[in-house]
Amino acid sequence: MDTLKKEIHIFAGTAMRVLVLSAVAPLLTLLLLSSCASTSQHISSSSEKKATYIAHEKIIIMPAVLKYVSISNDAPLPPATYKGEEAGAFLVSYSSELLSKKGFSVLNAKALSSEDSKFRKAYNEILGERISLFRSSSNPDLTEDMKVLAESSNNAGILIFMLRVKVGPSGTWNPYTGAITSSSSYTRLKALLVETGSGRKLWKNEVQLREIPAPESHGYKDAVKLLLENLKTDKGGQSVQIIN
Amino acid sequence: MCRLSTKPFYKLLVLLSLLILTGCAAAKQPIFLSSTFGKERIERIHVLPVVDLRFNKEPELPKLNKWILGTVKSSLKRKKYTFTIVSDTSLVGNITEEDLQTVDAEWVKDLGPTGSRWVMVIALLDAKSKLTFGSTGNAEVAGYLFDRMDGSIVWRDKGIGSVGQGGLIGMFLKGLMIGDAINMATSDLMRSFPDNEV
Repeated sequence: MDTLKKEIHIFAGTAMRVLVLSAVAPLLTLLLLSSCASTSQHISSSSEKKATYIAHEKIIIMPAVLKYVSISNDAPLPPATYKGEEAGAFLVSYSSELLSKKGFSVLNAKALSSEDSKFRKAYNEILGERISLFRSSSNPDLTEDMKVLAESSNNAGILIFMLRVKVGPSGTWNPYTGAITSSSSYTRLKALLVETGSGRKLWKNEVQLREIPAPESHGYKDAVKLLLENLKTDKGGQSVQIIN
Repeated sequence: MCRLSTKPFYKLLVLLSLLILTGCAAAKQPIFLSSTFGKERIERIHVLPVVDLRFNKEPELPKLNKWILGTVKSSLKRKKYTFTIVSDTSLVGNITEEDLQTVDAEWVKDLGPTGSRWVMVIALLDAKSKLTFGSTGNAEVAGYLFDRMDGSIVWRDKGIGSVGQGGLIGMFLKGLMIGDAINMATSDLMRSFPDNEV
């Protein structure tokens, strides 16, 4: 009788284990699959892997254009609510660090402005109109200012960034119907390098990040790195040179 | 006696429900509608092929024009407009999001086929589907109506679609999520396009 009880106990235990495993295994597989299956990557770049070599190793980095809007109606949102100013400042400082390591000379626009009033005037004009440079058509109003900048900076290129952040609702779950939605917020980081002498667009790149950028976020840091990944000087090199 | 006293309340309840329902179904306010809209008859709208402004344009959506323009067509029909669906994709090839954000009159005058006046542009700004424990789909669509005669924008709005289903059923439905979200976003967009009343 005892042996029979023991047999039944062993059988019940094994059956239970098989049952639990057969239920858990597909669930785990699906969960694993779900973590990597998405039609949109968290960070993605629009550029090809091929590097773009730029002859102008002198670069002036302008403050980033910050565009925070509501995804539903494009209504402007205050960047301060989402630490936008910090994200913009981080973009400029981290890019300066990355480009210096690549051998570019990052010029200090503040120092040049305080030394040269013509430079300051032209720089401020371009600063106010920098969003127009992202358009497909050129802006002839900036031609003269670009030339002034070229003369005063020994033909430095200007690097302009734009952070276009679309803020949408967070993900939801309805426990009654099982309906779920995921967050729709995303950011597009755009970079554009313009040759000041001719006003020609030398290089541009764009990276998409499926989150609101925060300076402390690894995703944002990686996105900035990816944004500048294929921008190289034609001389190459790793020398750090920041002209103040 | 009791029946008589409850009847008006019942009627009031039905009336209130209808009022609430009508309020829900009302056309939404567009982001922009020109004050001149409706003062002049719109003879024919030329609807350009959908501008795909998605990042990386992945995944490929071969049915994109069918999904979006199908909804646009039925909406314009319902609103009593005469329209032509333009199939020449070269007309929208170079359009960027910045071009549509701040509209330049000269740029508008060059938009669309020769001889057209009212040109509608629909852009897909974002679409994604995601597999979690279930699956979700999100889409963002923008619409514009331009008057090429004076290079002005007449109507502008956006539509958002957000769909999803939890659980195993939701996981198996992932392939449908993008299409559903795009259809939902386009219907949302066209709700604010005014009826042709001139």
